[in-house]
Amino acid sequence: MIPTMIGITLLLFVVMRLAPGDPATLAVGTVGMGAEGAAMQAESNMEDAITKFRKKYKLDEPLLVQYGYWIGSVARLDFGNEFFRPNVKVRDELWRRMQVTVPLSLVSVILSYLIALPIGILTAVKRGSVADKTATLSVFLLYSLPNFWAGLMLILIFGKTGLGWLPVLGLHDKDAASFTTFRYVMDVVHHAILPVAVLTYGGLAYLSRQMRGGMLEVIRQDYIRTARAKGLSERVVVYKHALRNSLIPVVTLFAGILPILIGGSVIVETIFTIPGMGLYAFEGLVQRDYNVVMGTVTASAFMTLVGFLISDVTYALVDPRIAYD
Amino acid sequence: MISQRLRLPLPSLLLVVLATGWLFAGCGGGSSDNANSGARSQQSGADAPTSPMDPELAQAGVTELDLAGPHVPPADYFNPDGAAVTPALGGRVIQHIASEPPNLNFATENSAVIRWVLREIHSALLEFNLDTWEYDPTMATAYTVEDMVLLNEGGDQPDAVESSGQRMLYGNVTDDGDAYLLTPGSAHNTLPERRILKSEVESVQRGTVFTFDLRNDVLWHDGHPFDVNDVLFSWSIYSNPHVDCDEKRSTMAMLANAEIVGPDAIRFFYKEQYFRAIAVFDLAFTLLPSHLYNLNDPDNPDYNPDATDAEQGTYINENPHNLDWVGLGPYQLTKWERGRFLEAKKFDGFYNKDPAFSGYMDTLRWTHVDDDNLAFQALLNGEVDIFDRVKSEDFMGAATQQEVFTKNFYKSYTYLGSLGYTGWNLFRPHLSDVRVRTALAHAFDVKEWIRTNYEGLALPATGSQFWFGPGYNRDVKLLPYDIERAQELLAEAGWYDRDGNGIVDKDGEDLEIEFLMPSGNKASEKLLQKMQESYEKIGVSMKITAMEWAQFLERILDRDFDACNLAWALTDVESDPFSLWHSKEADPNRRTSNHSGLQDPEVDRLIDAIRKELDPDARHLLYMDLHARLYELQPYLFGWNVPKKIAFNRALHGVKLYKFSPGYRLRDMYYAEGTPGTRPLGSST
Repeated sequence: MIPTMIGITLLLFVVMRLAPGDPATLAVGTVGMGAEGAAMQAESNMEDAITKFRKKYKLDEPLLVQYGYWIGSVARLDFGNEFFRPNVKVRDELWRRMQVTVPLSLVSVILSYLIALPIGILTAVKRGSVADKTATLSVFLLYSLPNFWAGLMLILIFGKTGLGWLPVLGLHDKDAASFTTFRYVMDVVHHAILPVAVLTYGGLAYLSRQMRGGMLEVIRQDYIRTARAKGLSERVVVYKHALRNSLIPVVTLFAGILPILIGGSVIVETIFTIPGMGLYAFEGLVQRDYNVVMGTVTASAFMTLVGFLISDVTYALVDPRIAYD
Repeated sequence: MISQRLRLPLPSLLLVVLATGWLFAGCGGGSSDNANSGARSQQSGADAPTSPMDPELAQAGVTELDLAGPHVPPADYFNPDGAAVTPALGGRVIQHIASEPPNLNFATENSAVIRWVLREIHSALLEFNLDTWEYDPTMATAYTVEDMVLLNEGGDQPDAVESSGQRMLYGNVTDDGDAYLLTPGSAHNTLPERRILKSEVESVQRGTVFTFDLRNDVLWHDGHPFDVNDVLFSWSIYSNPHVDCDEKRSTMAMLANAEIVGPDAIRFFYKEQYFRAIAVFDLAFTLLPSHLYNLNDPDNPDYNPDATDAEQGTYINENPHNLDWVGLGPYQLTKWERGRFLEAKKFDGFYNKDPAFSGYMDTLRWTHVDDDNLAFQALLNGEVDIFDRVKSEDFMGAATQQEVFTKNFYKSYTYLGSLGYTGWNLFRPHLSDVRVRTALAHAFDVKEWIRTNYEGLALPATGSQFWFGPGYNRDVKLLPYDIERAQELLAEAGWYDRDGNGIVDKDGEDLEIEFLMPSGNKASEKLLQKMQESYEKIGVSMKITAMEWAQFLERILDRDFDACNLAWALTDVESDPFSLWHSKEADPNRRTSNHSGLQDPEVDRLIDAIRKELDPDARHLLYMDLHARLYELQPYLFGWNVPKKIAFNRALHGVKLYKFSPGYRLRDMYYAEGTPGTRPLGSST
């Protein structure tokens, strides 16, 4: 896992640094030269400020040396400070943001599985039926909807300009601080409906297709035929004999769906102005705040690897033939 | 007034950068009016010239009221519920902000939005008065301005003081034949009156010595008394190279020296005569609490008398109070939920209890929503009360006509000092010829664009100064839209279609212009497409290149562009034209705000004269010449001033519109008596 992490971060580090756009220019250059207040300046001091900025963040060092500094900090669980808020540690901000993004993502993952699995099973078992065709068409439609578009549509439909049923901004009401605990929780749930819906539908579509495929493959197996020949009910055949084996490919997807959700959270958090990890990564990227980008990406990569680990462990749980020494 | 970074990052935001007095955006001295008999007026904002209403503007729907300044339209001018009501105390107003300030220490952070917040939760020695366009003393009770007499080496004045390695005297200087008569201009000036022979004098720098009498009844938000040591410390940080205040350092460095001259009095020496010297004492001079920022202050819990400059610098840069701000304003920061909102509540210890000065509301909130479309939804949802980024199409269209909007909100607009323009890179050979640039100006119909795109709600601009200020020459009119003249000019410059491909050429090269624009900016995109269409008519090929803001900015500052579409947001009545137009700022090897690279001796001469000229009338004449000369040179295709379009909650009263960003002030606003959550005037909290 550690070599993989080093590989991922090195690649990202290089790609990020080679991308056009310079944080020092953004920090200083947008500005001009001098301060607010209309006083005389002999000459602008932008160049000096840019040089100082680069020196401060070691951006004037060779790329590998910069990476060395960075990985050294990461080893101490420190992603450095933000470029534009030098008194804010990326690690602390990341932790704060993860507390928003991870629950949202987890709820979406769980919902995706809870909805996708029955759809997948149903469409496999009733293959070729109207239900199968309808479900297949529906999930393909969902799968092909870009989430930024879907998010904006949901805002227009359910926000004040439409039905006015749901809040569209953030995860809290403007007066949330004064709410009772129960009302606070309900408020969060209310605010989370649209973002969670957008995060969920894409994964749901994907998972249900995988589940269908897995189930179809299993129900063609000889042992299923045998089970049916024994006179077992279709319900027992499907849920007792076929389901567990057909779950294997879906379980393996768990690792893949986490990064998709985190990727999706960039868009969803931006659309709904939710101050989570996705929005943090996006802001960092636009501002060329390398520390923020590397911090968020590393956290995502770590979560992905953890997803792989969980998948591997779950393999053994769902398939007794697989064991790890 | 200067450069300020709009934290821009988000694609929905326009351009932005700025320089002396200009906020690169896609983006105001005066004497105290109380108790400063010795002070002299240095500013002329309130004396802005007025011209008769231009018939073309009148025809376009622009009213006298739109152009009036500094006086604002009456409060609640646009509010359908705007009939006079009795103000109540209390309540909360929520302003939308499109970007969140990284921190609130204006010494080290220069984003635009920080000023809006600090205007309510902090104060300065002087504050720009939005109604009068003068600088009023706020943390000072009064100030005086005196002149400085720099003595030459032979000057025989034993009591001369030293500032920046130069011997000098100060007071009010009057010419007296072969000598200068120097008289004290401030109660704190103890130098005796005298005659100084001109032969002893190297130069007289007028209006360079400022003495402030501070208020002695002011408390920081943590209850600590504000005093003269806070001011001295706040000035001293700019000489510490370890403090991250590079964006302001050169400006503040002009305050060469400071000295405490009494228990509540401090004197500053400005390096040389400069027309905008007074403006440095506005919010730009960020007052910091010494007991929280100064390691050498015994009241500081982290007191360290041996602290090095580096330690002190780091202590300021990373001070937790940069976020947890302790200020001097009528409101104090009470909550900052990152990514969501900042909230401030009325500060009980504020010295002035009059709500007309210190505000009526109990709570002010700035809610951060990046995306303008979503912010508009947030307005409709009641999450914010004020949204000042209403798009033109929404302002004119159904979005603000539907009941869900009109029931609770109303729309209004105010012209600020913004200037949308197309900048030409004069270092590019094909754009270095003024005839080519003039041809391009003739070939684009600005008036038609304003009429069709803004439905007339924009003012054509021919200069870069504040449209309503004394530096703007309204007599300079737009070049007419004239395709034939444009073609003639191109031909005079040697550009005509030799190879019959429809594009004019010269020396074997077609006239092709690459326009840079920040991606995602629909307004720029629409404009550039129109320009592309217009220039095609004169055989000029135009390529539009959209790119991310970071890359866009880098290319502009590296002068790696032909043309760019940008905007300046002016932050002062008069702005120093130096950084935008002076040849010294056109060095191709330096990144500056003169990104067009204009170099013209006459422009330089006028700028140098303006910067030294303290007489408003004389300066006005210089500005007029500068404006005309710049328009003649066409370094920009000077564009237009689009008003800021603002949606307000109808329940808000007392709303006044100003000509400086953001165009209104939260402190003015109140709810009508009887509104739930409020209490009558005169009652306590």
